[in-house]
Amino acid sequence: MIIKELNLIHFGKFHHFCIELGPHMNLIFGPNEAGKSTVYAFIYAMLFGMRRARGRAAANDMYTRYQPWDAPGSYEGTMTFEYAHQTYRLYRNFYKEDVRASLICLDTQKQVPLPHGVIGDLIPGLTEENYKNTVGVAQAHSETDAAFARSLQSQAANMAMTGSQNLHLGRALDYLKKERRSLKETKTSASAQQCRERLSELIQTRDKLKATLKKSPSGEAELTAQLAKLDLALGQCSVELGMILGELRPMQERLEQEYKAQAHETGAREGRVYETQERKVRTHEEQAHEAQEGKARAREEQAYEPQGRKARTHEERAHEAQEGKARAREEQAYETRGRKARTHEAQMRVHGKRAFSDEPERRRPVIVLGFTAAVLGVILGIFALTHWEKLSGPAAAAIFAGCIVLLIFGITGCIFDFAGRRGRGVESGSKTTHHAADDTTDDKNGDTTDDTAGAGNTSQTQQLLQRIDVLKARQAGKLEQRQQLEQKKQELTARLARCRQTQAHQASVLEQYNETVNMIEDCQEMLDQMTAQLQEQQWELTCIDQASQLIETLAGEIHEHFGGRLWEASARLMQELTGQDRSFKVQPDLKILVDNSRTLIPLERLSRAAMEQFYLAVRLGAASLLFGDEAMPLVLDDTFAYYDDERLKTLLSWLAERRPGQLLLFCCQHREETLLDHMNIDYNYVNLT
Amino acid sequence: MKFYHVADVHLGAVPDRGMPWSTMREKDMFESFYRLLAQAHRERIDAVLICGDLFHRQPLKKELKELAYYFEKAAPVKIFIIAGNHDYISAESNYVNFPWSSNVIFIASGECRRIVWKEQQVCIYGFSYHSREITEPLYDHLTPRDASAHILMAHGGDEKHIPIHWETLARAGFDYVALGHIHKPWLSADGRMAYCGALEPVDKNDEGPHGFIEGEICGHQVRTRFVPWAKWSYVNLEVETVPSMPWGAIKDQTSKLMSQAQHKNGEAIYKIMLKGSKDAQTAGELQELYTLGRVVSVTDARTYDFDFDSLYEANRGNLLGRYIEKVRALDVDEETRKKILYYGFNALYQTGEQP
Repeated sequence: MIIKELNLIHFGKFHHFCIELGPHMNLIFGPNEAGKSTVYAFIYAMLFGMRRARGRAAANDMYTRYQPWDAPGSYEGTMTFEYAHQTYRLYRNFYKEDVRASLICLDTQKQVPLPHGVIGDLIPGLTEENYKNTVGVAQAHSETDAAFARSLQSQAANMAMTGSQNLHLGRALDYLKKERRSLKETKTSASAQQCRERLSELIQTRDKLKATLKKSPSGEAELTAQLAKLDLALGQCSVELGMILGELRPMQERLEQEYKAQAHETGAREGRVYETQERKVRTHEEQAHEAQEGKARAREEQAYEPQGRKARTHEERAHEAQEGKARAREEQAYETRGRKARTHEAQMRVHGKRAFSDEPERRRPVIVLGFTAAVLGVILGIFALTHWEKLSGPAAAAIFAGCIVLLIFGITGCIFDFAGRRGRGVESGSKTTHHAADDTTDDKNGDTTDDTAGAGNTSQTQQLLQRIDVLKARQAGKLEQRQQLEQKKQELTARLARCRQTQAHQASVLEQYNETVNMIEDCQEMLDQMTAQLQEQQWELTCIDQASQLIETLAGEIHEHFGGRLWEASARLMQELTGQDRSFKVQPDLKILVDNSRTLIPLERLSRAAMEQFYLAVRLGAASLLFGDEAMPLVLDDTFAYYDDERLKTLLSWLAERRPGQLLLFCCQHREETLLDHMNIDYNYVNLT
Repeated sequence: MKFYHVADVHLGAVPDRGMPWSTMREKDMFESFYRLLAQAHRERIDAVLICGDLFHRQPLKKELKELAYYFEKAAPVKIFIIAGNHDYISAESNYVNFPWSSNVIFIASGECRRIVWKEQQVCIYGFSYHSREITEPLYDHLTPRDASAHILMAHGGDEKHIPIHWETLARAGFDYVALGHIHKPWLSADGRMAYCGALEPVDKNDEGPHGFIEGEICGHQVRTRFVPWAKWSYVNLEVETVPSMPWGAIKDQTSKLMSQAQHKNGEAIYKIMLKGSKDAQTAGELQELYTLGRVVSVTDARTYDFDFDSLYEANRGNLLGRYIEKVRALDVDEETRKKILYYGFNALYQTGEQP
């Protein structure tokens, strides 16, 4: 490529400023502020366009720096150049409101498309990056960019390609990094972590609920069975009490008779006292017994309600209540009649007449108790039969057993009472006979017969009293037993109520437990799905990493190969430029290490001039590799400030004689001009002043 | 005796969790089963045999209460139930001691029980799962006795869930073996053993028709037919593509195929598979296909339009050829190799420049 003409129509301080250039050495002279850098920037802008910075950086960017002061809207220029034996004219309008570029082949007068708006569309490899790091050396900017190293490798690799692609290893690696990032950014990982935490919480909750379930064993069935047994025992106790009473009462009546007879002899008062006391005791006992029986049945009805049973009907309860009332009324009537009869007797005695008790034996017979027990047994049996399906095993067994026992006792009590009545009837008859005989005897025999009868009565009375005492002792024992049983029943009933409360709570805990178990399963299912997705994702990431690694490895291999070539080119140039054979090494990142005959030292430790020489050598070496045979214009903006005269002379000589291609040398001193004149080297001189 | 053989109802399952239609599906699992019970009542079916996994997991008390109501409504239809591996009877199971109505016979025992139904002259055999897995072949030694018809309700058939030796079971003497556990319906050649399949598909792998088996047993003769019942179905949709097909065209093609399938299948849920080939220039975000309707999965089964063998031959000694060489030398499975080749090649291709 050879730049033939630069026309700065409006660029920086230049307006319609035209510079004609020669095909080889061009010296562009200008003192400070003459516009050398402006012309250098113009060349750059024409080749690659003007990029604008954003924000605050826009104030100092290239666009702003070179925008014409007087007519900011007019910001344009042209460049005429030769490439591949064709002459082209490139026009650009840099003004931000009307950015335009057009390329015309002057030989054919045809527009040449610039799809990307850069010279690289026409000249392969002449990219901005390549230009800046090889042939375009800006003022005090001899080093190459760090990123250029990678790009150089790719391009070197591209040079080896025979295919249709130009590859960018650096960009390919960046692309893979981007793919990796987009995979990692999915929300699956975060969701999986949340799911794991939730699962952990649920498992803890489940374990706590399970521990609560285990701590509280179910005891309702056991308590219900115990209550049934207790009721049975209470029933049995009541029946036995009834039997005792049934036995006791007739004896007490007989005793009463005895005392009446004795009272008649020894004084009515004692008898009445005893009688009254006995009556009170009996009344109290009977009432107590009845009351307790009634309560027992009522509690029994309440207690006999295991899960799913219905309570006894109102009819049954009414029947029970009526029975109780009937018995109570009967007792009262009996008592009243008894009292009246005894009063009548006493009155008769007072009048000297023996009161002959003709009161009917209407005390509470055992048959009533037996009948009650039997009825109770029947009721229980009916209840059990109608609800047997809903009864649990132990409860059903207990109820049936109780039913059978009550029936047996009831029947036994009736038989006993009936047998007892017959006995009393004979006895009563005997008494009647005895009394009659006594009467008769009294009338006839006077005291002697009476004394004999009195002695016989006393021993009977004693026996009776003994037996009564025994029975009373048994009765007391049974009453105590019943009291204990009822107390125990109360406790059990309370425990059952508590148990049922606990059961209700347990049912709620069980429901929560099952809900938690289900949530755990759901959570686990979701976690498994997410884990599978993450594994898939991880596999993709591994494949991306492998691909990146392979490309990096390839880049390294290429560099080794390419690095050698670059080193060779640079070393040759260095030797030509300096006349010295300095050993140095170019690293993959294009850093240079110089052999100081002891070790390799970074280039930066050498003098500025030496550094500039090395950088120039590497640039030119890279350029030779990148552009091959197509020589690009070498544009040096005041690059030789640090060169001494000898070094400069050598360099200028080499540039003029050994390097093909165009050179645009910007300088602010006449030193270069003088040296070139001295060496008789032809050059095109441009004065910017 | 007329009966419905149903299994794997999976009440309580939440199919396609997270998808917009998931709640509807969960509800429809229950509705579908209640409809079946209503039909059994209407058609005066004698018995409904529920062969396991009635629930997807441990049933809650409130769920059982609701179910018990529908069972009671179905009376006098008799409902026979066994628990499966999903709703197995644990120590805390609400199945234990639940007060079912009188037309429900829940065979809760872990050992085989025989229910004698005198009016129908049928004996029904079965037992429930008491653990998640049973690895013993517990159906191998069952032998029905007496002259009535014999129906076995069974659940299992794979390694971890009562492995079944089919020939042994076929010879055992049952007139009909009503099976559950496999979600796909199947009938043996002689029509005496059948999986009725899931009543509704439970997850996206449950493709094909779903429903129950309607049967009649008369003496020792049995007749059965499959009744499609499911409201929902999973449909596999293959979309053929070529490398030149733009992404928009692929989407349109997918949409069109979905409309056509919708008309045939009622409430359909789609599993899309892209087939054919693609090149590195094919853009497209697979996620976009989920927005076309009820799409539960998208699989990209397209192969790359790169003939790597030819590419390698053409680029031997240069960067691309060397990359292919390196990938081939990796010690990985074939699928991983292809993936690495694709990623590297695609990255180089996408970032490269045409000369």
